[in-house]
Amino acid sequence: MNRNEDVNTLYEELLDYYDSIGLSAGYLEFKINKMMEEKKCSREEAIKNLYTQKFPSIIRPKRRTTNVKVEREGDETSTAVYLRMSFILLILGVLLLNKHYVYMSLIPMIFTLFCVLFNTPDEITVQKELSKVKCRVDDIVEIKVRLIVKKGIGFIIVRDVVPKDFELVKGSNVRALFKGLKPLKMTITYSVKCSLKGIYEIPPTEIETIHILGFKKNKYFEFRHEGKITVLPLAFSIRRIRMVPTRSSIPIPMTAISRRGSITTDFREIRKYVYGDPVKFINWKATARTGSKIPLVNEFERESKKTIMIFLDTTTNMKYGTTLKNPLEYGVSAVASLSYYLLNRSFNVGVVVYGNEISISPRTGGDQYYRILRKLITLKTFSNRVSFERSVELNRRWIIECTPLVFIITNITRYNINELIIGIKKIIQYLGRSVERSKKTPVIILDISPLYISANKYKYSNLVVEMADLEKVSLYKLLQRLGVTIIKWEVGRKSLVSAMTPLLRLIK
Amino acid sequence: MRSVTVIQLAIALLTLLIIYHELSAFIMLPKFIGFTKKLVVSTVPGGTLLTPIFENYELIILMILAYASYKELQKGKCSSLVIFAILLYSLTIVNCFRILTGIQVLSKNMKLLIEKLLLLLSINHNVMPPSISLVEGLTLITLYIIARETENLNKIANYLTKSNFPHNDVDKVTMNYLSFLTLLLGASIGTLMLVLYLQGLKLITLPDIRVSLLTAIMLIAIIGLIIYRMYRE
Repeated sequence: MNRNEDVNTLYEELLDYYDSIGLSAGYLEFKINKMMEEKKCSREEAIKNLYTQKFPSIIRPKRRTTNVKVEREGDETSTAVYLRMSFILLILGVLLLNKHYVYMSLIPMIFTLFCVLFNTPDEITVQKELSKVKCRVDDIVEIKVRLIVKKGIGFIIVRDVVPKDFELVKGSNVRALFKGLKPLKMTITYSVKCSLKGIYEIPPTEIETIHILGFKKNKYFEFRHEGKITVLPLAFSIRRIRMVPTRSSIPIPMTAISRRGSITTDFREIRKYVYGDPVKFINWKATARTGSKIPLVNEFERESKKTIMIFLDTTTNMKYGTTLKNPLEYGVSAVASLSYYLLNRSFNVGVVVYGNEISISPRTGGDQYYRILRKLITLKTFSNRVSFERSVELNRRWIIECTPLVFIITNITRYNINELIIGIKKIIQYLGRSVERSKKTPVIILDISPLYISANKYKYSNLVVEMADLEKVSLYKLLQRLGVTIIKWEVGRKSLVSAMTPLLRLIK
Repeated sequence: MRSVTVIQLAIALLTLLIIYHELSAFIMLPKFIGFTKKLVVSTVPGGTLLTPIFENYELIILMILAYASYKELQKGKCSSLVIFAILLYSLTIVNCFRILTGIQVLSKNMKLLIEKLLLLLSINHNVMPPSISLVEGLTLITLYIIARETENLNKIANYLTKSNFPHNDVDKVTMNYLSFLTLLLGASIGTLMLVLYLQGLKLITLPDIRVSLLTAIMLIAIIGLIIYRMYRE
């Protein structure tokens, strides 16, 4: 395919796209010209840019086989036909001295002249109101577009663009209106569901006005709106099931005291001096009594509880399913839910996003929750920049200093199992003696299994999925040898709440 | 959408009625049909069976036209039938072509031929007096405008429906458009009636078009230019 053919194909696909959303070829031309002016580029480049804007993914839209087009431009307009007919009749009437022809010619002529008096709808004002600009995934936002058209007569096609990844749930964002003699005042109301976290610009409202008889050129308007819509990731309200207190099966009881945070006046223990300890805490009397070469220091209790580090996998390993339903999106929801739950219970929570190299140091409080959310919102791309092993190395300071409970949110596959094993071994190494005392390692893996996302779509797909799932069992065994607790979240089959319940039982 | 179909059906029915009237106005047509009947009966064996067809030729023509218009209506069109009616109507007022015989350059034989051709298309003025003929002409041209506009409206409505616009919007747009079309046509016919009324008052003398050909052409050119400029804008 040569270059011109390629551009033509893109143009045709764009034309199909605009046609499918109710806009004519004229609107596409308007967009192309606008882009040529803005970017000062050639027509070919403008078409390519417009195409990549509309279809950012590599998957091209399928060409529709049935296509109904109304050629409102370039087609012979009714008015041209009427005028031609009128002139023919008038000429016949004058030449043949026949009054019937003259009278007949007057009707289309007067009709056309009346139509000429009216302009294409113009002087448009648009106001857009959103019920909320900050919402969570799956929240419904009501959008109101107030439209006033003062002049002209004809058709008005309004298309209020819905942000990418938003889903229309009620009403319609495309409307066809008719402007009569009176000014048109209209409020278009529709609701959209936010399907994916992120920060979105409020998209423009596109309007095409068509003359009553197509006598004059169509007009195009694009009203841009300021502001952004912030869609926060979904956080489920996880509740711990109250049970009779027993010994925790993992080395992180709820009452565990943190080694970080501000120092209280409660005495904890005397221990050997470590580099970095304040001099004022050295217990000189105790040092003299024991005759130790290394001075002993008093240690006091810290505010807040234990630290929890959440490692979220954003490598291509999480790239399964659709753009809306994939392990990464579920993982983000899990991080948001877990951090909300833990921060509410005064834990120090730190988040490490490996793959994309994002690290949020462990802290507690409401601010930390929003700090985590802000980072998670913009998380979209899959990247293999930083491996899990490397990420553990980079954050070893927190692991050594805080001896945290480590959550790893990933999708366990044969491709990342070795990386996980090496990383977990490193965590165990950094945690040191505190782990050696316990049989269990303070590492919990939340395995987001994407196999069930589309399991019910096809016949026998459930069976295939279950067979594929068997592989996971052998992988789990490898990890369990290291004393790791694994929780499997079968997305599409179980909710996060039901998946998390056994996990939260462990944190007593 | 349904209202458009109803209007198109009404146009088709009215046009068929006008066609029936026009057919009955031709003097030579029954004679020609009678001659064909005789020819068929005498030459074709069992031709007598075809006599009812020749006797009710108008109904047969109307049935054929009705079937053709039904097929057109299924596609959302009806202007072809109106165009046919306008062409037929032109034949009924063809007597005015008699002016051609006054042209000096034509030879005598040519003038005779034209006379004979015009004789073939002569009209029974008892069936179609000039006033009825004028009303029919005006009705047909109005019907043509409505037919064309309903066709366009049909296209737009189909396009809107297929492009997932709300059905309510499509219905509202259709109804508003139709009412506006009625208003415009009403205004056009009203203006024409005003012209006819003023003519009755001898304020305008349209039947006595004694203006020279040059003046007429200039008038047409000026009006055309004005409309063309407006169109360009």
